[in-house]
Amino acid sequence: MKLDSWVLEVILYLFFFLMLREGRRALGREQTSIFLWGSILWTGIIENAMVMLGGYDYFAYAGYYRFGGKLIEGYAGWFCWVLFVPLAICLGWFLLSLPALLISIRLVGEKRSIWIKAAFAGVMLVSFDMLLDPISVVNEWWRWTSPGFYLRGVTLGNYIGWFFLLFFFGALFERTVIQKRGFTWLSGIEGWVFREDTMDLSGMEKGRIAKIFYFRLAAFLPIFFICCTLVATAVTLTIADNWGPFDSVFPNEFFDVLL
Amino acid sequence: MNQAGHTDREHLEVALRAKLRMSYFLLLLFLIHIVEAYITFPFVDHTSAAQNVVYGFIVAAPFYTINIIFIVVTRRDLAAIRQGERRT
Repeated sequence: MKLDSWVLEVILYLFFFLMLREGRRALGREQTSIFLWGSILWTGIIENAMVMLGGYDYFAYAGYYRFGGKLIEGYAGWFCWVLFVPLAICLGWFLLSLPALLISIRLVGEKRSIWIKAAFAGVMLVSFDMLLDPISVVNEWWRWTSPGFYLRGVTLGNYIGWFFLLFFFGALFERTVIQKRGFTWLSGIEGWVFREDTMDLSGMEKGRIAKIFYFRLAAFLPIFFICCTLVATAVTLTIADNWGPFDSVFPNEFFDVLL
Repeated sequence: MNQAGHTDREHLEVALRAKLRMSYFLLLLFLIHIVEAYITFPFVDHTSAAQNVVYGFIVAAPFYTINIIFIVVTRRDLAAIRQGERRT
């Protein structure tokens, strides 16, 4: 039975509102808002970059949307977009990563390293994604077009990316918004940008903390891409180097225009 | 028991209950996807939807195991808080 993309969208929007409500009770209104806007920025930028680089695309965008064997013209397949990525995908990441991070902080312990807790949450998230992504592939919600080691129609690089997404985001959120502390290697640049000491954020207003958090996300973006590329390339070269089962529709046109 | 201590305990209980509900929602989401895996086409390299379900339970084992452990730990914490309230 074919499950249409709107089925996933309805589920994701519904659970998004439920998680947002509970997140506000657990973390407070401000911290949950920072997490939400941070995750939309973080996943929005990374997902769009990956789509434009040819890693994967969202079927419906490519004009392939079909229902009952007929092409549905004028229907984008997804309710709302953040450039080339459905908004539901960004919100879906939020609704999974917020509880995963809170659970890992509780189970691993507040005194442990932020990186260990973020890694624990990342493993939890990847584990769930390993069920979600094969469903999406057979229902043509999205698809992978890059070379790599494929497991049930999904590249291993995707799971590596999911892990690092929450690994960096979770560690940055906990250090900045929950612990209200800084990173030594970033403090010099932040001091120049924000004109104050960012090693201790306690007593600082929430809006200011949010700006520092978004700045740190931007600073860690290149590190995220380097880590993903290194690990995914190592896996692809050592295990398998297969081309994706589909041609990338959007990126090919994009690069044709450029060339 | 002073008023501040009572309020702190109330805040902690509200936060723990919210986290517990989040954990239940995650489990519900997992079950919804298991149902989806059962009613949809077989995954790539699978021959039946039943295989999808078995695969889902295997790969998502860390996810639901951690969730269940969290639920048990949090329920225990909530019970301890309630017991503490009764004593005071």
